[in-house]
Amino acid sequence: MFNYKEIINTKFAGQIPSWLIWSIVILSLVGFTDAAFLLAKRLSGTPIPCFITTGCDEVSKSPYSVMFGVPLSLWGVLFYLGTGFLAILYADTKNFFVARLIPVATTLGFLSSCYFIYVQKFLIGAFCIYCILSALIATILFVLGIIFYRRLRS
Amino acid sequence: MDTQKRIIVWFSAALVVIIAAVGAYQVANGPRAELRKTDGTLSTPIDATDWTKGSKTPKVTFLEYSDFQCPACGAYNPLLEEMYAKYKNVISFTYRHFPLPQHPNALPAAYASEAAGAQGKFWEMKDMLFTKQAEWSESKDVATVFEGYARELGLDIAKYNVDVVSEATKARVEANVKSGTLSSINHTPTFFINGKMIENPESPEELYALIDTAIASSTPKTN
Repeated sequence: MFNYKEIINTKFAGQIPSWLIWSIVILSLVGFTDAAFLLAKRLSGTPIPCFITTGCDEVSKSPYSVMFGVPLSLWGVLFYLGTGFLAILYADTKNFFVARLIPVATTLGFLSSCYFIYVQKFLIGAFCIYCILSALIATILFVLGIIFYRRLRS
Repeated sequence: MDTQKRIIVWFSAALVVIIAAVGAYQVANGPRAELRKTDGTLSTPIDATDWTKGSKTPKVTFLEYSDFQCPACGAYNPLLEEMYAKYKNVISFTYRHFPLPQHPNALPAAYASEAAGAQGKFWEMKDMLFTKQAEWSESKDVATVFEGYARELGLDIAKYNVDVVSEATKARVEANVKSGTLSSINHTPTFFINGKMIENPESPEELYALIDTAIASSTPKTN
């Protein structure tokens, strides 16, 4: 019989190295700070100082910068906060279901980032350095997520 | 993980997230609130938004924080204008507002001078306000009195009446007051020579001596 409680409480016996977990936590923190900066800029409405690339404001004020009525920077904040939270939760509980959620989250972040880069390149024609940084972090998180997933299966 | 370790991990994680969020917010919203200068130096350098007359390449900058309704400021005005006439080729003279709260008509007077300034007559209005200080200081309808001065100066009254109540005018005065507060000003008039607060001179000779010393110890400035 399906025992919900037992499954929820299943502990994952395999070995996930702690460097993997804490790398995810730290990268999430960096991503969180980056997204929080963009969110604060959006709320205050002040221009974003742009370096390396040009057009940070063009990107951040474009119609593509909102999804379901919520600014992408807020989605970013929630994504990184969630991923970091899951990683710490896993470190704390070693719960199998939490572990399964981590690669799902990082994949989601990676796919979104791919789409945002596409939007910046082909639809807006300008890049925002903070968004590229976020995409970079999401990509590394995705790679870590894959390693995580493989360890989980093995 | 034992309970104690768990508490530490979650607590530090929350703390780090809060610090990161606050840090990001601070960086996004520019520098923190500026700190007051208490060493007698000027907090906000003189720039193009200030009312400045005199030499474009001054050897010495003279700055006054003043309140149109303050009797001492009115008393100093002729002395300062004499000083300016004597040194105008080598110094610059800047006026900033610092209307004190106990002078209810000082703020409207500052607005009136700004409105006149918008038509290129700031200094004329400043002299008018100080010269006729006794006339309007206790007035209950100070707006009409100032409008009369504007007329006397030959200003476009329609424009004056718009400027005197405009947000831009208020913001300019406000910025002056803020810079004065940040420079820890506690009396009017307060004078700065080359960005350094001086004791209020008690005679023209004392003022000239201060200026002469500053000129003697200056290297020519280029702006």
